[in-house]
Amino acid sequence: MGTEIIVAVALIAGLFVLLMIGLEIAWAVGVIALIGLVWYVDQPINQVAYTIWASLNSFTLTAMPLFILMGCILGNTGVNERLFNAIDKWVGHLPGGLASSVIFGNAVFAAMSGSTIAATATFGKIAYPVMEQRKYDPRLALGSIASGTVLAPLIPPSILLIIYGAWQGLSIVDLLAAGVFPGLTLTGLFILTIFVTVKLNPRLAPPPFKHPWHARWRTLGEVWPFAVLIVGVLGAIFGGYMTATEAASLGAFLSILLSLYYRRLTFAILKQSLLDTIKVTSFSLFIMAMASLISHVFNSAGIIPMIKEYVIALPLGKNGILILFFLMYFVMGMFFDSWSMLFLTFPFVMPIIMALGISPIWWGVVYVMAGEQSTITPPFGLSLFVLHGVVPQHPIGTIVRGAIPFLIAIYVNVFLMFLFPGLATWLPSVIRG
Amino acid sequence: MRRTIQIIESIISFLSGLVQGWILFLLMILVLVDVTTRYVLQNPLSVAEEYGAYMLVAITCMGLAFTWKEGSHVRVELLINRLSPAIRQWMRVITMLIAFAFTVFMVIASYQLVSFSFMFGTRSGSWLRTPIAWPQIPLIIGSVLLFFQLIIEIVRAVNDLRSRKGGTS
Repeated sequence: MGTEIIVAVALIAGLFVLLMIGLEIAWAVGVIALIGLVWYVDQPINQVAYTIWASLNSFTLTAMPLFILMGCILGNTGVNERLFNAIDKWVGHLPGGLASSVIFGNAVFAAMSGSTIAATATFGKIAYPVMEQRKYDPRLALGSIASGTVLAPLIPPSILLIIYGAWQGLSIVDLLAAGVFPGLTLTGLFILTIFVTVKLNPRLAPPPFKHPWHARWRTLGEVWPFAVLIVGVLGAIFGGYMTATEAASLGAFLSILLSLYYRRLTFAILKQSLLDTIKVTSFSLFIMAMASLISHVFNSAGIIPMIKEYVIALPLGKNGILILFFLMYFVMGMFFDSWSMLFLTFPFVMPIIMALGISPIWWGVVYVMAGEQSTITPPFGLSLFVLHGVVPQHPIGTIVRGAIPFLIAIYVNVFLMFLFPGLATWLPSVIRG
Repeated sequence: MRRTIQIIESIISFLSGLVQGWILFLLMILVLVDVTTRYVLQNPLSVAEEYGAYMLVAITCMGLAFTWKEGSHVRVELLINRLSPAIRQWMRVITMLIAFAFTVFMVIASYQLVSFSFMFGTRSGSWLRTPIAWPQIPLIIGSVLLFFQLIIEIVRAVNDLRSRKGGTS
């Protein structure tokens, strides 16, 4: 046991140093795994290549780049602008007007994209100029845009949940279904947040404007292809007609047809979307492969079982340990994005979750919120930076101040999931029959 | 020297970026054809599941060099950004040398893996009985492309350091 502790401390400290000196995350994890493999576990180095091969050779995981491609095409062609305009016509009369439209827009876009970065960039470009023009307070405008994007990895298809499920060998359909109700409750909580903040400080937003019914009905004629896309993809998955990968292919193909229908697709945009997808796929799945390698090394060295026993023995109880994890992600979220945190921590966290008898489906959804809250918390909030890149005239501090009330909504949603686990587990059980 | 670097980078952009992009497009078509043959022709082709996974391996491994070139591999910059530009540049050279050393191991490990697969004649478990060494080859090519991309990045970073030194002395 003594040697394992020394090895564990040395390797984890080494990993920390490599990460802090700015080595790319995948390589930092890979180097430490390689050192452990050769020095302590004493296995041949071809284990590195075998692990890459074994962890990537997965048809289920193929859904990930295809869903990213779908989001990239919709984002790069800018067809979402029509969708946002239509949603604003229907819900713009709610308190906070356009801020509520942004939240609903994100919920609908989440059903087509599943990527936080794509959602932030899209709504920053589409919604903010209109909100600025109509004299919305930048805190409310930017806070709602940055926070609304947290819905993307909750409402299916969620790329984060697909990676998690494919990596941990869980049912993708169950995971995607598990995100539906927490996604809807979070949408409701975000709207409630806007309602309360605007009631408390009416200067944050101009009075909402009610669009006439004929204008609303007209928009439906413009956005019906989006409905076909969403119903087609989600219906294919939850109806049991297609696997997640097949539905993702259908989604990517339909997004090409949809962009052609709106005459927005060019060869250059298609090429750019393909290249954008390659970059995201390559960086994230390589981290995943390296995380699988370090998981193999730490398991072989007896480190993961040791950490598991230590954590389970803590006098905190099941919920105490979960809160401890939540706090860990809160701190880690200051340095890492939700995908990196998943890859870095799950080799250690999952054995504990399983040993505590916690549903991995429920935990996946809780993790999405634990990880995604980091995207809107400083100093390294990914959505904060992406949005700041789109609206550089406003400091990050303004976006952070705007996002704080929405953070409370996220924590309330997590609390609801602790109180009512069925929010995540009921729909998968119904779909399974 | 500059011309050689340009040529190598354009080869990397083509093989590691563009070709992989179109492999992704092909993957989308392949999966759709598979679904169509299942539902319309009632005679499933049943190749997408196996070849789709091979394509994912290719996209991820072959795409590493292009992703590095575009600066899209994620790293923690929070602390590094607080250092002076000169120290930051030195740190970058050091981290790239570490990445390069790991990539050398990746090239050797991939070569060993593919050699063993050829040697033992390993085949996939599906009806296609694909010799597994062939879809593993992108691991070698991807690591080699990354190897060259990192050499270029290191040469560039060292040159930057030299010019900085020249400028300040």
